[in-house]
Amino acid sequence: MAKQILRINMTNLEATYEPLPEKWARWAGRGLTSAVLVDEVDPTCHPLGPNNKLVMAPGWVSGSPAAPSSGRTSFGAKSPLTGGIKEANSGGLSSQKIAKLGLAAIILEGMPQKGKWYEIFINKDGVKFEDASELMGKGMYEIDELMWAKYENKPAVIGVGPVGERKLSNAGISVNDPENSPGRYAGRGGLGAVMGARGVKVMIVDDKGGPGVELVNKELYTEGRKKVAAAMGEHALTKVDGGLWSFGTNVLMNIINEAGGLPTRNFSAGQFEGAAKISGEAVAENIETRGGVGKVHHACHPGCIMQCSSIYPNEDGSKFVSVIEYETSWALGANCGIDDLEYIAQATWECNDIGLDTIEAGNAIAIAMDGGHLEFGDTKGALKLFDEIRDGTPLGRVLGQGVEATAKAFGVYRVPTVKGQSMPAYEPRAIKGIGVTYATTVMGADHTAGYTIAPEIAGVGGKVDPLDNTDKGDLSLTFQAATAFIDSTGYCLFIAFPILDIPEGWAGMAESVAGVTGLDITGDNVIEIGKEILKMERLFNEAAGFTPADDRLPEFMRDEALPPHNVKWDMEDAVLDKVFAWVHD
Amino acid sequence: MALIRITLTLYGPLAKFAGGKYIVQKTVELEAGATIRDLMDRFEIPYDQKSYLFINNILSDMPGLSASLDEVLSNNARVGIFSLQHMYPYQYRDGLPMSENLTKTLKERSGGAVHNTY
Repeated sequence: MAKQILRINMTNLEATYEPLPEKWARWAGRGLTSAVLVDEVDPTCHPLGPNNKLVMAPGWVSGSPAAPSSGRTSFGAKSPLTGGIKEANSGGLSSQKIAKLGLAAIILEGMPQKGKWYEIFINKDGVKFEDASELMGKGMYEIDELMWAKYENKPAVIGVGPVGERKLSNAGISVNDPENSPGRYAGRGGLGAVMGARGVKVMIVDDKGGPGVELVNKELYTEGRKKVAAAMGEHALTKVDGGLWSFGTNVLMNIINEAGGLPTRNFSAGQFEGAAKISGEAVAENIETRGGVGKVHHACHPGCIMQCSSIYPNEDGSKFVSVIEYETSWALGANCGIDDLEYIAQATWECNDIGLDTIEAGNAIAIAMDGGHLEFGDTKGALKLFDEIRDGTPLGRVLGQGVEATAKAFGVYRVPTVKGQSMPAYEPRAIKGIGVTYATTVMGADHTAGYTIAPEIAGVGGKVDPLDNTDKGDLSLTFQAATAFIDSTGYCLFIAFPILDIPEGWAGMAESVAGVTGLDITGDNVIEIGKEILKMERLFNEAAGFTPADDRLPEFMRDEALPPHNVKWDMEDAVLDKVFAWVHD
Repeated sequence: MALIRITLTLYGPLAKFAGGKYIVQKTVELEAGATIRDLMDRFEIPYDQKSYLFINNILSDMPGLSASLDEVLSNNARVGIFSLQHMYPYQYRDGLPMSENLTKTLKERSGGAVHNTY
């Protein structure tokens, strides 16, 4: 059965199935969300208005039999946080279930009558709309429980918390995990506000009886996915008992801190004296000591073999929260001067429930602290801010809009944003290469926009010297292109670690995609395909009004030296301007 | 012989060499002129079990390399040593201050700076 597009119009509550058009047939995941937005969304539209759309697309291999760690769903829209094109992807149950229903994408468009909210149920028989007024105001923990109690077959639950209902710019989209908890978020860029603006509180996807994913070349697919799985099983970071398995992504906390690149107290220092207490090592010690339902490794979606997630228990062994990622522990912890892991667990739970991106939320609290509203390190005061956001008080609404709005409210000059989106946990003054990616990616400051792919593996060997600062632009472009491709596959971006060091894994990724789709994709043209996606996105942003002046890091990073290395951002603008100059060739 | 004081932090499974579980920090007295090799020998840490190594926040070694073993330590130096379980993807260390020895080692080896080595 050929793949279809499910178009859900919230103005007239109509759902239509369309054959996947030829122009989109070669895309999936991020490539498809961006292609739909380019074709159907006016770049100058208001992100919360009737002309924006929310596109959800599983990757090429999602839902294919035994594809390892391939449960990523891409969510795309014009972002209310950045004003540009946005793709944020999530683990959880949604990707494989959407794919197994034979859907290439779900396009959510239009706006219902004012004040109307809906619960949407999708299965093999079609789409049902129900009034959601009884669900309004509820957090995602309760929503997930209610939906599994109401519907059979343990469906995917895609929803927004109170922040999304209020259409605030730091609203994420929650996807439930295999244990039916929230915590898997398409977090960045305020896409939850776009879903809220369509009047959708929650969407349930049940794939039982669906047609499944068709394989054009089963032999090639199988060969490819086995190579990817073998590389993941072999590599020190992704294998069983490897770094991600043992400590999760928070294995980075101590190492970035030793490097002097850990943004601390609203990006005023590069080292935090309490980093060890909130690191992956500390999380693992607590999990092992407390026992109970705690797990140091946990799959965020079925079929993940890396299992970098964890379940953090209370002291009595009962479930507290999943998952304390590196970015989460940093944003809510180090960047707020907080070294209390129990606070971080609680704040993570609040973000999961209310529907906030943890990076933007932690950064906004740090801004409020820098602006004198609270002292750095004040955990009680910080928890009250989550109450303000949940309750929708004026202060809570400001915080829920993210860092730039909060900085204006508190008169703060040290504003760590690019294109309106706040920076993640890597200080670009110390780690200069990532600053080039923060500055130039269309997504706003984003640590996942440029994952390392060795130039020679990517087929561009010999063109760049990683140790030469003048080549940082070329290197960032290669990384961004590879990332755009991986974000389209449905594979978790962390497959980049093994396929960087093990060339068979890189080839296997391309072969598995080619086997599913029949497209002419090999390891040699991955970067070119990734660049096609980047070009679409870049031109969308230009049409939305972005110029090279938006590809800059904030002024304070050129003015303030960052301890302990006492470095400033000194990258020449010409390096940044070169990264995307080719889109007009 | 004059003594120097070093603050050593061992991360992950290496912590067991100094009595910890996953993190341990110790103040260590060594003879002046001591090197990273001397420091690791003191705790009987096998050289092939260290990965990323920092001296005073400068990245000085990587997994599979031995760029730091002969670095001479100064009084009050801070040394952090990570295990082979630790990850530090290139994009998160691209442009970071590195020691001269590590920079030289990376330039000389095939695969350059981007690959992890195990």
